Amino acid sequence: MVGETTFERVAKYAVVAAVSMIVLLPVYWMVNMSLKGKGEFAARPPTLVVQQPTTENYYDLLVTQRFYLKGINSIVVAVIAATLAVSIGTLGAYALSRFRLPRNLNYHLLFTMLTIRMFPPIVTVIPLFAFYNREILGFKLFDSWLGLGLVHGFMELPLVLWMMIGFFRDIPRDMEEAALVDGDSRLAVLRKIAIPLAAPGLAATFILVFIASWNEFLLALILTGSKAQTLPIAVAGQIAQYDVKWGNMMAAGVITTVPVLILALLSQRYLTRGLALGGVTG
Amino acid sequence: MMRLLGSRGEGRSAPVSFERVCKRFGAVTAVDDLSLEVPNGEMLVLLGPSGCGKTTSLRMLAGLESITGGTIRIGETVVNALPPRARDIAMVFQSYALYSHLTVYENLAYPLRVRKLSKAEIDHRVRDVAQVVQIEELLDRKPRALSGGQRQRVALGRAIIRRPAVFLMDEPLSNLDAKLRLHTRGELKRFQRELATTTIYVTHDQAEAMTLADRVAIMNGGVLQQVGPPKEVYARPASVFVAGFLGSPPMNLLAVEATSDHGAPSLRIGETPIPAGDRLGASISRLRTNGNAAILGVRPEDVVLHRTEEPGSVPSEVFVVEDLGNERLVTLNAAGQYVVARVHADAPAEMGDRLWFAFDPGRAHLFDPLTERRVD
Repeated sequence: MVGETTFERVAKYAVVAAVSMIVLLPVYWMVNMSLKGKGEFAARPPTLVVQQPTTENYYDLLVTQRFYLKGINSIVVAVIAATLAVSIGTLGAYALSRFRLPRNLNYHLLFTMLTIRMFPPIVTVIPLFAFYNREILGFKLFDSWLGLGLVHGFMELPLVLWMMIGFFRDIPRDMEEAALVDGDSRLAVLRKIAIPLAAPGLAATFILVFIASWNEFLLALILTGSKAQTLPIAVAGQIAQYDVKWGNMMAAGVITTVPVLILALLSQRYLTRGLALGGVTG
Repeated sequence: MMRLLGSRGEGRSAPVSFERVCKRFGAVTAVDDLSLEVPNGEMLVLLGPSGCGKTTSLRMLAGLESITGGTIRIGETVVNALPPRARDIAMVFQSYALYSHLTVYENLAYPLRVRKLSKAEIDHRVRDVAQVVQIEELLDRKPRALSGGQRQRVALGRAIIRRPAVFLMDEPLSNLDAKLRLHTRGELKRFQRELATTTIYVTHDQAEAMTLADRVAIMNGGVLQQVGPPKEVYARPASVFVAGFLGSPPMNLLAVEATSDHGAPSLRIGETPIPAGDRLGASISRLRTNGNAAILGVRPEDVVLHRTEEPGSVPSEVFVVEDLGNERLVTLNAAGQYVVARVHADAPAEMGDRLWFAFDPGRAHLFDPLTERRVD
């Protein structure tokens, strides 16, 4: 920055380094522990840097426990949730940003949607559980990808609505009106003008819903059994009745975190831009 | 789609008619009882200050704003309830409203793609229009890589490529710099004459209105004030508003008293009676005002300055002199009322000078202070 003294620069980096260390320490510790064998685990005091790195935890997890199956569950559920929330939320957001309803209904609808996020998820768990165990058309939602994806998607719908409204408001009204005059219907305008222009926001929103579903624990715990179980539940599953498989648990943590981390890094550009854009005008 | 377009084929211009059209936003009346006929092929300019309802009228015609009351027709078709796409119109927006994620080529092709024309036909027409508006070498660019003038051409190209029944233009020149604006104004006029398509053009710039229009429609406060050819509205403004809006500087409007001087009708400016002449004299009886008050309108170019008192001249003091190079504007203070005279560049006048001004009553106008309408 212009006019910055050396001291200021050093101080700035020192603060950033300190904060980063505090934030990253647990992550480091998780990676560190995941590479330790049974022997090193028992060492007192604990070794700060792993002395004899081993892959036995990962081997046990991936080969013996077939942990990757849970990963597939997580991916499918998150994709279902994000696709659902983004497609429905985008339509809703577009309608609410373009059409003025009487009696300030736009605002009331948006606020009502927000209340979905206000009550604790546990409130819905028992009715959902009962409903999901009922057979509808020969199909039970309990312990299915679709079942959990539906719930996750619905939970994140308000987020999508509020974010996408911000993005749509940024699109010049003239441009859409030009398309209307040029011969398009509203839906065609949404598809050909609004969505391409809001694409970075759409991507950011999709990723946020994906991550939220990926990390969600409570509903995933109750609404799945063994078939559609997602990663967070499987991580917690390393706590057995009589002992805690610390090494496995740490390895499971690493495996669960890495994909989201990569996703976030890849989409960083969209995320920051998207969040900033949506935030200012939303 | 063809069914929605009614009986008009593509490429056929159509007349437009507003019949007692109203637009209300809640308690605010934006357009009040607008009736206006635009014959086929005419260029009509809607002129007025901001907030006068001209853009709202245009947007109602485009279908971008609903109509509170009245009827709008394009050709024979009542379009009140038709969506914009079914009205066979093309519009140039003030912001140009180019599709920023598409290339110039795609922008031009857009209205044709919507109509599902064949690829070859689209390509043919895009290149044709690109040549007409001189943007052939820009076809692969995105709008953000264009200058203001180039964007304006793309917007124009996108409008004419459709061969619509009516062109709508919402201040299309206001984002250009002064020099380019003059140039584009001329081109626009040529295009319009060559295409001979009905055009409704909205502007607040009277120079644009005067130069482009076959007829000018002047609006104020949602009410249509006057419609007519530019020369006519300039020479014979229907109301005090039109008189004070057109011209730069606008018409001088003076509070006068209608009296008679030895039996001949006369107008008193301050203490000075001046003969009203036959035309103005006859119109005095049409004043609906109580008392004898009237408003006298004189164009600055009709004001004549005298160094000495002449019969029918009014004493005044020079308030300020503004030189414009080829002419000068002399503002006079005549007993508390200001009068602007547009005179020759070397006409002698200094601040503080005592001058007498006169005018030809045959070229002046009389307005009723109550109705604010012209009575002569």
